[in-house]
Amino acid sequence: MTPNPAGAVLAGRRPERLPVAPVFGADHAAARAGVPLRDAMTDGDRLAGVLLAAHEDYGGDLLVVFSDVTVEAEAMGATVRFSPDLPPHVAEPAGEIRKLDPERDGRLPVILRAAALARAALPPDLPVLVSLKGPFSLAVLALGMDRLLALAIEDPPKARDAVLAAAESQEAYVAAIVRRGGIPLIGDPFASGSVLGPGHFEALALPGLAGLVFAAHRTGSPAAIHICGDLRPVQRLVHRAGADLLHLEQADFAAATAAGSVVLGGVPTDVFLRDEAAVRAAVRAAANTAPPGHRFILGTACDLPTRADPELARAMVDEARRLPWSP
Amino acid sequence: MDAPPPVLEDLARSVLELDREGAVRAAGEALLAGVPPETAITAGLAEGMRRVGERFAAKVYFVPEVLVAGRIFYAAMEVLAPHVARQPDAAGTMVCAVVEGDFHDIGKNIVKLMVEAAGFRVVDLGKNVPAERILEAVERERADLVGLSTLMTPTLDRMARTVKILKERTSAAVLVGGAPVDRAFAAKIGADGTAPDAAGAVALAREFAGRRRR
Repeated sequence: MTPNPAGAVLAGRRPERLPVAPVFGADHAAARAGVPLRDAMTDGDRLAGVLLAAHEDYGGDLLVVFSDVTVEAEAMGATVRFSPDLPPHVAEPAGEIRKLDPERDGRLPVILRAAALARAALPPDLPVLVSLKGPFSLAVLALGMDRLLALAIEDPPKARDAVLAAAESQEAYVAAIVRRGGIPLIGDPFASGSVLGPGHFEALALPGLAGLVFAAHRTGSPAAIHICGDLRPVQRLVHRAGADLLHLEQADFAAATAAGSVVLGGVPTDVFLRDEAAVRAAVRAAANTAPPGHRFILGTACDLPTRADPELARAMVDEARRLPWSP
Repeated sequence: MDAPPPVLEDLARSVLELDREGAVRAAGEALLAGVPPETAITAGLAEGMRRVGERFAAKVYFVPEVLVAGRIFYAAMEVLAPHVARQPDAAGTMVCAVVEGDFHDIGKNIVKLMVEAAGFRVVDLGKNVPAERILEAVERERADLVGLSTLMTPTLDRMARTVKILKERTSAAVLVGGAPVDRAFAAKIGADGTAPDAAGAVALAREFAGRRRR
């Protein structure tokens, strides 16, 4: 049997073919399966079920267990509203950051259950990444964006304390994910270079990210970071977090691999709202601009849109597998 | 030609340097010096926001700085606004909203602030706004422009639907923006334009409002 190419790349080996992965969350997987979104996001068995069904259909080389961005903030006391067909949102921030018990609080056990089921269902060398919120984004979701960003200017020590408290809370979640056989994927969308400049990224986002990567490494697990949007203003700082895999949108992929990380991405998600020709062209373009060496997994730059046509996700994988490849 | 009163520069610099106390103090000093409040707003505070926009476009300032500059702009406006005899003629009217399903309004708020500072009347519908409510506001306000924002890929299709409805039913120019939006996507869904940042959005707003008034 051919070794999983994404697993090979993560282990530092040359893959036998170009690894490819359409990345999707519960919203897309549930919509595709006709399962009510709230059901998939509140029941670990159903979450694993819809994610695995989409994975089997598309045939990617890794799986991301991702429900939505509100999981930890909700567990801290934020009011979260669900809608029938779009990801839930924080209607009222928690107003405080408190330490979570991943085995008990909120929907964290749901995610962990899904992670364990997905891990058990898939070949051992296929990476199962499990998404958790990065400390800066968790602080934003728990306290409110305006409040945290204003604190960043008006009371920097208080802003730093809030983000570090979020990081300390997430350490236990990292360990729980690793115990289920998952690779922690630290998603920090609000720490994008579209939002934070280098000064604030270094002071606020980087210490917590580095701490969580180190927490994963202490357990013997690799760690991944996902930051969407334009990363370039802060990318050199992201490298300092020491992640093994970076799932990126607008970034310098060659610089990321030169810094020692595997890069996942390259295919913009808006092409999945166009047509098959656009998807296939985007896959070829991503492959043509791939960083040198074999530290690249051709993936969607962010999650697939909720209503993306499954046919287009299949086309992405098919096109990637048609590309010429020399191991 | 008389040199502008130094207090206007104080206002602009206070906004640019994120000095809230300085901006509020300069607003009061402008009134005491007999500077018309309209002038203090446009040549002082708005000039400061314009410079903030320049720094944002140059990636010297980022979102936290722009948000705090906006708070300072409005704090000083509270001193000046009661003394404005009449509203200056607006450069145009823009309805802005985050499309249905998305609750991330930070980009929309920055664009609103910058477009308002550039002299437009802005009707802010907030976040998670259905297309029908946006259409209703555009017709009611006789808007020249609509600014639609989304940060998330799952709501790109809602943005497309909103643009379609607005283009079918109104003559307003529709500008779209947000992290996952690029020119190709804007063109595909029939929007009139998109910009990568708030300064670009102001330039587009001026361009389209100017075209409509010709």
